[in-house]
Amino acid sequence: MKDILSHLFIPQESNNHRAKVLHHKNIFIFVVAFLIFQILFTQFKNTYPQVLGTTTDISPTKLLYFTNIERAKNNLNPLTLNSQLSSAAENKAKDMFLENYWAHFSPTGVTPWTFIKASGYNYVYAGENLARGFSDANSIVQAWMNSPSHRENQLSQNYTDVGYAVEDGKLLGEQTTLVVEMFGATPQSLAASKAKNTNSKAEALGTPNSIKPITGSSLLGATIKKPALNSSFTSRMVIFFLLSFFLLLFVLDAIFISKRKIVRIIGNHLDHTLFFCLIIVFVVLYSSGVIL
Amino acid sequence: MINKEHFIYYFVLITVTFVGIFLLLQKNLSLSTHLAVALMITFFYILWGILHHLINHSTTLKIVLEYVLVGAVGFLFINFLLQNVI
Repeated sequence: MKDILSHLFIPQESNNHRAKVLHHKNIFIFVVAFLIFQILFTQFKNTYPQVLGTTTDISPTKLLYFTNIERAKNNLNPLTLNSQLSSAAENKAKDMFLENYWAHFSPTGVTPWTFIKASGYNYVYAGENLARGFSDANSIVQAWMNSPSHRENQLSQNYTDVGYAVEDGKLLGEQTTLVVEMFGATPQSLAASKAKNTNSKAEALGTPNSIKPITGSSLLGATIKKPALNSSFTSRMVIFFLLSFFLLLFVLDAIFISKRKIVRIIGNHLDHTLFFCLIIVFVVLYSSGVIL
Repeated sequence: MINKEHFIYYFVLITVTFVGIFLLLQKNLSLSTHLAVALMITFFYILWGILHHLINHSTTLKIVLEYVLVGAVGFLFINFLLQNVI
């Protein structure tokens, strides 16, 4: 057993002074095997999403909760979930999927205010934040908070109400979870908000579960998926493990060859090591969430 | 000991790959653009590696094949992440 492992992973005479798994034939076999694995992984993910799928936990109530936490931190009145704004957000989300665009203004020139007006919400102030490709509500709110223009909407004193739509669909060729957040204030709600005692801000915050959701067709449901295995995390771990495995082999190879002073005509292992190290940086930092 | 020629080689390799990875981390690009960037990083890696050996007069078909295979592994890993990680 020890000899087999040594033959596979340590450069020595039996493997022509190069780890057997790093021989060209074996790297080629790995490439083919990985391609097959990728096809099977995708097939399995599509066929059994309850077993292997993307874990998402996004709901209007959680989005509202995390938004109001940020507002409370900044001593602002909490926003109220409004069914008309949620209806406007829902129609905007549907329009984005239908017209296949990722923008505040549709290709045909329809503005966010068109959807708000159509919902019957009589606004004096209105705003819109968009997000896609996130897996949980808190990450979305944090991404908005980290962007100055979105943060301005999140923390605006001009808004008293908010509406959300959370919908899955195919946008720009990618399957994604789209979140539309629409802010607004009516003359009445704005006057009431100004008169409100600021001491009640903390009390009004509650918890994600204590916020009563708006019922009815005007509010799109939450996207909460909890498969047995999170495909996003699994993919990241698989690649991280394989990259680390190759890096270890390159480093071992370099150490043994330099120790034994063996001259070989092969590719430069430092190149491969640097290349894979930079891919590891990508593995660690990559996430697909986008805001607009 | 790394001489000046090697230093420049590795500096360019790291810089270009790093810029490529930076582009891959940009969230407002489409999946097809990300894949195109990943493909460009891979091609650069293969060509730069071969060029390095050409300068040292040590290029063989076996070495070219090795860079192609390692580049293919790198590209497959990036592609797998782009397709599956959110």
